[in-house]
Amino acid sequence: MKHDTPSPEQAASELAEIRDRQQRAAAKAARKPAWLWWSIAAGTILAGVAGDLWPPLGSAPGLVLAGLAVLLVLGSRSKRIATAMGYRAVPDRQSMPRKAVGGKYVLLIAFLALCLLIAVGSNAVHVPFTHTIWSVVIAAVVVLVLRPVSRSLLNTVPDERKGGRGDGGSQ
Amino acid sequence: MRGKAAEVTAAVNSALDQTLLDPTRLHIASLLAGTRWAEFGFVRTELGLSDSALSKQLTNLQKLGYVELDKGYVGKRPRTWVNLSESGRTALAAHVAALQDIAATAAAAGAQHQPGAQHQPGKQQ
Repeated sequence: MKHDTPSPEQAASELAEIRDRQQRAAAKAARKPAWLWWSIAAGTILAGVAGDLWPPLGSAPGLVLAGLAVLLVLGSRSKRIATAMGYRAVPDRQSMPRKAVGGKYVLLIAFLALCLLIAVGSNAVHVPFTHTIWSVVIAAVVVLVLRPVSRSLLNTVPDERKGGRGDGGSQ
Repeated sequence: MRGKAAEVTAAVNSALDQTLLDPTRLHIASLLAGTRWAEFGFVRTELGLSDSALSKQLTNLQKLGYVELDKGYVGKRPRTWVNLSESGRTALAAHVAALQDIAATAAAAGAQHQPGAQHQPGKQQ
């Protein structure tokens, strides 16, 4: 079962293939199941409606929802919980394509900034059903912006090769 | 010069992992390197292998200590999870380094030859 030593061209192409496969697997594994996005959106609206219908609740429903979201994210790192949630693998964070990781942080910061803006705005402007209105806005952003952008980030091709050591520079 | 090249080749050959020179095993290892525990079905789908072919390869890799298998249930459904062990990750990293050496050696040799070696068609050397 002895295999031949690969030629330089084969070595370069195998290197590219190894990295591509590794990054694609990490990206696919990190894809969130569709139900999760819809649940976050539905939960946000429910929290908003609850906040308006019963003012003493204040921001408690929102905090509970945020806590649940954190639990879900942390839980998805355990293989059994991840499988039960609909993930097919636990991604190796270090293998994620750089573009996807960078994009994810930008997206997260933009989303947190939006939430902050909404919190400040709803305190300054008093209109009926403020919580409901803003929760619908956040839910719409989650489903219509975060979901497709996140998916497209994870569909990005693996990192471009650079002319470093052995990165296919034999051509 | 030839002797030195032969020495380098021999060193690189010994650094290459014989197990990972098999394309299917290399594919499995590189796929698993992107995950921490993956479902058997995920690996099968991504590699386009049959259940039995993948199972056979995984058993062999497990015997070598390159992968870890875990069987369990989610609800009532039986599941098998696969993970590239630490020794598997180390072996893959060493294999990748050896491949990089092969590619880099060839690139360096190509660069050395280029300046004076302009090929002129039809001209006798």
